[in-house]
Amino acid sequence: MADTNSKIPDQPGEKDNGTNRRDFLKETGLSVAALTGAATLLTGSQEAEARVTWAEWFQKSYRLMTNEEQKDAIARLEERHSQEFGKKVTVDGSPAMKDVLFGYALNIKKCIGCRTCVHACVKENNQSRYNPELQWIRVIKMEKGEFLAANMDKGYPKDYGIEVGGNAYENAGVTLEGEHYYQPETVPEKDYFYFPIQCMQCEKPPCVKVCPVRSTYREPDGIVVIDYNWCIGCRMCISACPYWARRSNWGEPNLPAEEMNPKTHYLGNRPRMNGATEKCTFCLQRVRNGRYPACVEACPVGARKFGNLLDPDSEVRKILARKGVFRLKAELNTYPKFFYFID
Amino acid sequence: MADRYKKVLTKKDSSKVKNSLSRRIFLKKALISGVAMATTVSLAKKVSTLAIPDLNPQKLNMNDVIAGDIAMAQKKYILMTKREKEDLVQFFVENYQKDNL
Repeated sequence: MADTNSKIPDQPGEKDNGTNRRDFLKETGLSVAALTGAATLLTGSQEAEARVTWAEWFQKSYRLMTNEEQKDAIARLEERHSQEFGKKVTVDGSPAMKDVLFGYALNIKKCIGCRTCVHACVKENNQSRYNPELQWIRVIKMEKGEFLAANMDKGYPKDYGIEVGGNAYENAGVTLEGEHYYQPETVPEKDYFYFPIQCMQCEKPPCVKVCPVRSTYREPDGIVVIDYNWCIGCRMCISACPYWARRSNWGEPNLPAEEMNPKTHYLGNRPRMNGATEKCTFCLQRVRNGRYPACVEACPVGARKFGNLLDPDSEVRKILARKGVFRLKAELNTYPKFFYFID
Repeated sequence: MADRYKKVLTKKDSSKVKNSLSRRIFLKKALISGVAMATTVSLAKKVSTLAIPDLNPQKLNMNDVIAGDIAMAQKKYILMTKREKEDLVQFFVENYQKDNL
């Protein structure tokens, strides 16, 4: 009888299917339960951060996203940051404008070393305020060399190779080490000049070439950007940058909610995370909406000029045509779009 | 007939045993791998903590920045000639057109 009660494989298909179906249903049930559990753990709470974290882990590189995916990513960030900082935060995704290539010029003789630009930049771009205190602009104090207009067309300084250019400052003024933490009562100090350095937005940026995950790239308007979510924090770009313009978030950034600038751009000044690399973006969130970078606006002596290199009537093009201009490390052929000039 | 059933049942039983065995082996392997991984991670963390005692983010940041400032301050700055400037502007314009065709 026992034999008759047990399943008799008269219809082989039935037996096999019965077992498989049961196993299949069992496994499916377990999988669904496990997935539901995980999803509940991660998204069960109403915390926007949990949902964003979950979604961000699986999001693509910003450059490869469709318009819809970009909008979703931006909406998620807006929700999370608004909750995190307790105010309405907007994340802009404006693309590069057509027929625009941004360039920057700084009058080295006008700069008084007040570092107003540095603080305006920190405020505008939501940089970590302490531990680490990140600054995208560095101003180096240097002993003045002698400016000899007569030497301008007399070739490169000694031991420098082919004589096709000119030199304005005597070597004595530039071979000294810069001072990094000058704190005089007043600026400018006698016999010193000041040298602000920031990202040069190279036309051929070495940092972009070395990025193993292509999280950093040059936009059509010439600005080199970083997809902070895609950055793996390997610091290859920091090593490759000849201008030392990139900063690493060595720790969790400290940005007080009351000091947070809520007008952000996905590729610009939105709050960064531990490990992500960051740098000057010419204030992407401003310049793509027809405004000047914060440092240009803040400079009290008008030493900073900004404009479209494709427009012959722009300030930058006029400076290039009429002033004494030099670039940093021009010999590396990185083609920086940040120029220093002398009246 | 009886033999035929016996054969089938034996096959079923053996597959059950096999399944349970492979599950046990899998769980055992998973457990061992988990323990090994946890040990490696904790050991690596311990070693890195000992090897790099000071992980102060501010100090690490300044190590990057100061080195850069020193390097940048030791350069010679050379004014561009008129021709160099014109060529450069031309390069920018052509490069833009090439990239945005």
